[in-house]
Amino acid sequence: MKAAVLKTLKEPLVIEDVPLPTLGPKNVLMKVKQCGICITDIKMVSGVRPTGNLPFIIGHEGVGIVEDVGKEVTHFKTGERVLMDPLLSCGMCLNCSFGRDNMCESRRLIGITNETPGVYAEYGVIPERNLYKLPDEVSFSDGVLINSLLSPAFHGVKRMDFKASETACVYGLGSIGTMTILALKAFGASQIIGVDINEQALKNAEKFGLDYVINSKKEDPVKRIRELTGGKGVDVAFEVVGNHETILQAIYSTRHGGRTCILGVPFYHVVIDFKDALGFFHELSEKEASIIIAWGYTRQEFPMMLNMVKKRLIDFSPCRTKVIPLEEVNEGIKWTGEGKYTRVIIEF
Amino acid sequence: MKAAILKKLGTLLTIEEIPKPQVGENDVLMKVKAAGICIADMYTLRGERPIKLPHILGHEASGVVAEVGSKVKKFKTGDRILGNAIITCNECYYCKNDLEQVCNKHTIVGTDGGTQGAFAEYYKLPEGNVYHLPEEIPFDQATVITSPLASAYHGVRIADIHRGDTVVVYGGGAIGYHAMLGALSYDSVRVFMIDTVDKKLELARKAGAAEVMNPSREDPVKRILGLTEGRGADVVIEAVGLNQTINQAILSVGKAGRLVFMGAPFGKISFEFENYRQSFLFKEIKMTSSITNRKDEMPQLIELVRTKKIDLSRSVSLKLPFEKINEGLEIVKNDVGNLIRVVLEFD
Repeated sequence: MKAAVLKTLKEPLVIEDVPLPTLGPKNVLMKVKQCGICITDIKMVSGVRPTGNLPFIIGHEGVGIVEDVGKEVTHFKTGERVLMDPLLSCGMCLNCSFGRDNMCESRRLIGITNETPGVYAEYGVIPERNLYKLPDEVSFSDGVLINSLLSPAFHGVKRMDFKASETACVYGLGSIGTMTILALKAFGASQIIGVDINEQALKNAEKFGLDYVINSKKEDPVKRIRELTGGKGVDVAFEVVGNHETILQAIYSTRHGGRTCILGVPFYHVVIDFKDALGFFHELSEKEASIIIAWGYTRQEFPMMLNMVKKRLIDFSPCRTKVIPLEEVNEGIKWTGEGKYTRVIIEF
Repeated sequence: MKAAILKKLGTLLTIEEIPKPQVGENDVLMKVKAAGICIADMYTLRGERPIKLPHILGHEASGVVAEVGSKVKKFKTGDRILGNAIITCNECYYCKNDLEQVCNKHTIVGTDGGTQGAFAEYYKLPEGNVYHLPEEIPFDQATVITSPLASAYHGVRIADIHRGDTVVVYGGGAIGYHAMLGALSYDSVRVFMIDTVDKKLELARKAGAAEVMNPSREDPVKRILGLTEGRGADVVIEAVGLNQTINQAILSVGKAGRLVFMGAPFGKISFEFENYRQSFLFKEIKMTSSITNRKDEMPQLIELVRTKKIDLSRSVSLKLPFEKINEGLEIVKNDVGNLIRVVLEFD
């Protein structure tokens, strides 16, 4: 089969013929139809993030069609449309047992962790447990958007116990930030305010259904958010940057009893420094505010997301996807880094 | 009536005869039997609270009903009662949205300007701030319910403790100690108490702490990880309010854990970890602060004390007659003997 193989760090991927992976009894052979290119992929190629032993096939945002099933597979049959969850959790540790497999003690990721090759390839072998049926109403590209970008945003909104009619602000309007807007709309937000420093990002995010946009380079977002919420602040703030300054701004943007969701995952050292002597006291203690971290997603959220997309409660039409053939994977990696598209997707 | 009056900041209180408070139609007048001295009284004495002098301090009182206003329905003369001094406005956004604990315009009777406190023979509160005190609870213990236990228990409720949880409490003072008692009111919970004062640790041990740790002798984070198979605690309650303990608290909590900040930090706080991702982000913790308390918690709290699910027998460390109020204030101000609570008693 054809695959894009990472042979040397910092070098372009090499497209070549590799043997078809062997199918274990509990596995499904998925004929890959599409696979998204993730920032994590770029970080692996550039050597910033560890990857499997080279040569290695990356790619963890796959959707496709069941080509063959292992002997013990009971839930899938040949020809079915499927979406893969790349997170290999053990199902046995304490975190898995209470439904938080995102923190599985022996967490591995297909296309990232050693010995679990990914799906920048015509076929992928995926454990049955990691596959979900893709309803006919949900396109392959929508499937890629679900497992790549919607999942952490959805997890964040869900983890905040977001209630219909609540107000929210989103700091950072990149791909996950805009997905957060879509999830918030689906959960019934009455007011969504977006904050970014990039004019282009703000313009793009407006299309996702923001009520207000704030360029935090031009005006104080905390002050503006308070003005827009009758002086109180929002019910829930989402920080989707992973930056000290925006984490503080997000906390300061919430009302008394408000919640701040930290969704941003920084790849550098972060210190959350409540600058003023009484910053912590006024913005957390006195407000009885909460800071809640959301990281990744959990297994049980896939059926929920699939249903909501199927019913068009979550509508991906404002997303800008770019579909490319496998041969253009290295250009695709470059475009992903430039951030012009919601997702660059390889199609087979 | 006799009352202890603060006439000038930085001076002793003087006990003088003044007229009894006038009872409004919705008020209950309490003949004070016992009144606790709170650290917040020290802030007032230092001039950190906006008060009008002369002022009568005190907001942790229990006693019997001396008189009721014409519209008071639930109380009659002679009833044993305790008071909660926080009056919420019932009008702001927060009061209307079931968040009275963060009411924008709350006043604390005895702490805020223009209100008369409980360091007097009679003390007046609105009916809504008064609760029946069961016979089983002595007056001195009742004063503990009104403020330190009420605040601590509010934080415990926020912490969302489950049976079988490991709960770590940083700080064995009045709030931390009572948070521990609140946590222990959940079945099969194990509590670790951390403080730099051995005397507080001894008390915590007697009151039910499974483990106690003194950070001046050992690294509490390391010990907590050791006692939880490397996982960290399910719940951590921070009742100190220092940068170091807040950071240790975050390092002590395990994956999917809950953290409640109960200390009121007046210094600069900075979350800083060697590994931000592993120590903070990837644990997916929930951190909440806790402030004051709520009215709906009071009846359950009184019941927990009545049934001894929360045992306040060690909470009153020293009882003094009302006349010795200045002595009591000095002891609390200088933290002499690391006492949990000093309570004044009236004849």
